[in-house]
Amino acid sequence: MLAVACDNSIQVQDARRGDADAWDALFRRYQLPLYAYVYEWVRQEQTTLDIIQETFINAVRHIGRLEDDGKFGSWLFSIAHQKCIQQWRQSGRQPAMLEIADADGEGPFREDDSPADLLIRREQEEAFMKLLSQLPVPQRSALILHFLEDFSLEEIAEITGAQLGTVKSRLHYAKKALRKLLQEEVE
Amino acid sequence: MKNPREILLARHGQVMPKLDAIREQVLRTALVTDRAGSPEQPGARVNPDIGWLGQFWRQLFWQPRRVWLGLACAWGFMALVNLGLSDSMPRSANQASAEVPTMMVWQAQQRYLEELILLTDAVAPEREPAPAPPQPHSQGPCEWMGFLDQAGTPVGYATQWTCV
Repeated sequence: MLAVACDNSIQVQDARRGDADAWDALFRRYQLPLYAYVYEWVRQEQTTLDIIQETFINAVRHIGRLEDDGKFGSWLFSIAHQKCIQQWRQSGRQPAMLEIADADGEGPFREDDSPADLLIRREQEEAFMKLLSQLPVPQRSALILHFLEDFSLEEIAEITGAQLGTVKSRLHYAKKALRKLLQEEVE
Repeated sequence: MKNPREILLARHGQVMPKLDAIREQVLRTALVTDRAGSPEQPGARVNPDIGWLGQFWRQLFWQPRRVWLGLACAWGFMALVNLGLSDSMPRSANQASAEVPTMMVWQAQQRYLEELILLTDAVAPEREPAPAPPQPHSQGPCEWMGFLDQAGTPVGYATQWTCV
């Protein structure tokens, strides 16, 4: 059972006042999911750590721009996402890869399709990670955000800067491919 | 069996010490810098080492520095506009200086005219009596005719009407 969703509002309020303990608790809560998300983009440990550091620094400096305290997690991921895109562009990769899945159209993804429903056996873990790495970056990004923090479609759209229908489509095709692979593994 | 989140996080568990170090470093540096850059809280203690001149500087110029910067921009803009218009200023001055003699001549002529009017009034003949009230067209002015004897004593009178 996932215990992802939690209300950070009180800690965020304390963090706004410059409470170091509140910041420490917030960063401790999100540092590993952030690392897992960023690593799937850049695939280099040191670069990933640099992006995490910049994300934390930006969060401390620009906490005043956060409108809803309850959305601290998605706000933090959106900062990291922007850093990932900057890193992509600096490394010379084509941002057009990010646009591929935008033309997919709206898929039949259901909001109540919880990531907790998907259980993977130990012998399937490697196959799962391999499939994840084979997915196009936009689909992989949406799927990891869905798996890691169980963000809503709207939150994923805000983090990635994509349309809601596009996010639905990405998640639909990513999960479809994942289920297909897992069924093949079973058979 | 694990869910995808557990798998993803478990694969990166070994970087936790590095993440902890980054977190502590950020909290040491960014948070302290952020506090130093933030405006003072109301009622905060004033550092006595700064001195009254330093406090005066901080309160009047440093804290509202953005306001001063905005004012400086506005003043600079006004100075530029003023400089841009300065080439047209001499022409206006010339026009004004050219108008001064004209005005003086005009005032002199006006004074001369007033003197002439006063002089004319002084030498003008007595005003003629007011015209007689209108009378019927059938009657002309009435002339009195007196009759005197040889000694000059009036002996009678008569009127004569003349038709107009």
